Amino acid sequence: MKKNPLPLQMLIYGGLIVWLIIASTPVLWTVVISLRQYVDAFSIPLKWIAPITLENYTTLWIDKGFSRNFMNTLIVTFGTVTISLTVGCLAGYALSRYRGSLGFWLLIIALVFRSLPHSTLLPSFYVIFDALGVRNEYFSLILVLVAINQPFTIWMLRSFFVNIPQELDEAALVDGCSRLQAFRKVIIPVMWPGVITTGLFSFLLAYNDFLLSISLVNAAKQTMPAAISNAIFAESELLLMQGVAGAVSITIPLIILVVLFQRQIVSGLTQGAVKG
Amino acid sequence: MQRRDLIASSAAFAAASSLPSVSWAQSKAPLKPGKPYAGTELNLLSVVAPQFSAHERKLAEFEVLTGIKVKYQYVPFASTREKLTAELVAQSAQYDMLSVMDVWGPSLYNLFEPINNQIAEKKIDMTRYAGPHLRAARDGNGNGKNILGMPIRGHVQLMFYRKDIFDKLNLKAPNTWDEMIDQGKIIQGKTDLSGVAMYYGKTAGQNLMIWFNYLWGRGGDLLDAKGQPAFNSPAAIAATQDYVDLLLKHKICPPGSATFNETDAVNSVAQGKSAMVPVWWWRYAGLTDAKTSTLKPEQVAYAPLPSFPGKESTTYTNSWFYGINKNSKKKEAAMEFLAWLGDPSVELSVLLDRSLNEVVAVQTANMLNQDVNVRFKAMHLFGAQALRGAKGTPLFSQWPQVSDLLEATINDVVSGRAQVKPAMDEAANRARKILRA
Repeated sequence: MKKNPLPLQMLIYGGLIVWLIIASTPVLWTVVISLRQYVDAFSIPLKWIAPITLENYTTLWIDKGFSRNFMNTLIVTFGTVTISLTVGCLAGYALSRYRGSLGFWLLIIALVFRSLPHSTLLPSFYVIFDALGVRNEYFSLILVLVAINQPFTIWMLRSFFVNIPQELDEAALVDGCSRLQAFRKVIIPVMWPGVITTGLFSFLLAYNDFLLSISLVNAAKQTMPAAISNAIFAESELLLMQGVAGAVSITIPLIILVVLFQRQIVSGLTQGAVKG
Repeated sequence: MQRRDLIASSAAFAAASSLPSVSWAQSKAPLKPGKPYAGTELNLLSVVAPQFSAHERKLAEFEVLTGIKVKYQYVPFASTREKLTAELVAQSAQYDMLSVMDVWGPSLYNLFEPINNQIAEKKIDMTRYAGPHLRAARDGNGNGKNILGMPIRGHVQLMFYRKDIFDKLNLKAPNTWDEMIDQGKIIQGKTDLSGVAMYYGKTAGQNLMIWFNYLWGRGGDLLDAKGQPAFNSPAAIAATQDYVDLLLKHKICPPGSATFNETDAVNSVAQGKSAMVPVWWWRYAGLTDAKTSTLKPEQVAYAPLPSFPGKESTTYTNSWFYGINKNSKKKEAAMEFLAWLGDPSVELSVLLDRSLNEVVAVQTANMLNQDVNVRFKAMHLFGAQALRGAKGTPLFSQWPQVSDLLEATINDVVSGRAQVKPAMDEAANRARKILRA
């Protein structure tokens, strides 16, 4: 392959480095100030060097019991991703193989529901969950998140399944598999990048959800974003710093996840529906 | 009480501050005898504030007295209104009591239970609350006959200033806005500090909060007697010009004031970059705490906001009340809680709790209480004085939209995108349409 001339390479790499600095500075600076007292974090002029303290983290995680919110996030996220992917895989596969017009209309209806702002659904959820006596339950929150996320997972997974040749199904059937066995033993193994990409998007939706968590469950069951906002918007500078520590805490698992699954994510994005 | 009397009182209270702290009176709340609601569990939806956490820590006392258990559910300020509206409009009974900020009240009046009868039955003297705070809990835009809750949290504005700098330059806290300008210029000439930290940026109407004092001081008002925009009257135009001139003409504000919000302005003083800031009283804690400020408590003093010559000091107010959900199935028990929480001794105990630095008070007796004023060096006397001159927060259901419009207009003017008169005329035209809708 022909290499770019040196000046062009320098321009490209220089531009990438500038972009990297611009993109990463806010995140890195948030990490830095989370290790400071408010007086140093928001000093005028800005202080590059200041005493380091873990107080914001210890207060948040130990005194304020943020670990409970972390566990809540794990429960809600795990539940949402598991149900969304299970239903999404089955529905996406069926819709990718179904040729009737009903499939088209189902997908359009799913798209319409996906486009609704989450807040418009809240009052009805309030009434229904109240009537059933299931407000403030994990599964209520998971159910709503799945309902909001499901149209997206169905669309995305269907587009991955469509790219898998139907001959694979037919070969499995000829070899004696049932439809479900063909799906499980032949189709899903070649679908992993798509499943992981879709799973990651579902994870992000549930993990970052603020509105539904703050609205549908009480403080004991709230997820991390809702708990952090209590600190950030309080009438107290000290609480604000706990919010900053919370923001960093919530970001770390995401970074780990992306680093662990980067190969599958890139592969999924370039093969599936997100491809341009 | 005259301003100089207040300042003299302040000095007297400061001198008396070495006295031991006195314990507060036991609650005399008018609770029903025999614990008729024992075993009831109440849910309270509350905005986050250290004051409410302090109340929560005292709930054991209430439970012993009544057998009622109260559970607090906190929501951040930024999403409180949405949560409140969703709960009430959906006619949910999830929360028996909810916290409401004054300006949200008018669109939610019919969703709260009036408590006039219970107040009369329990013989609760509502004159204990400062007028502007009680007004926030009344229907009819603050003038109705129904009381919808108990005022629980209220703020007044004070002028915080650098006492060490003022002493060094032989200056006194400004009595008038003109004095504030003069002092700001002197400070800027003799130190490297800006005169007064102002906040003209767009953040939840914060750039209107000091503007109101200029408006009222000049004899203007937000609406006329017919409920139509009056903020482009000659008096209001003059007030607005005075207000923006602090930055544009007199240049006594720090760089960046055009985009500052309230926190930025307070931080400018806390970081030793400005000598004065007119702001809510609860900011005192942030200005004097070593974790949030470079200043020591002895470097920070406060006074009532300046006024125009011959006029009383004023304050914009921010008030919260706890109301009972109309759909609650435990209204009587909820009223027991409000009666207990509204007892002056509860608010006083929080004010005098040395493990806290909570200044918020809504009851006049507590604001005039000697121990409170010794502890906070007459801050509450100043607050009580300012409340006498306060007209109160605008209470009409379209206020949030009008507020957005006005804060954008002020920001346009200080940013050089508009002139005061045409901008306020245009805002008034648009506000008329909002009010018609």
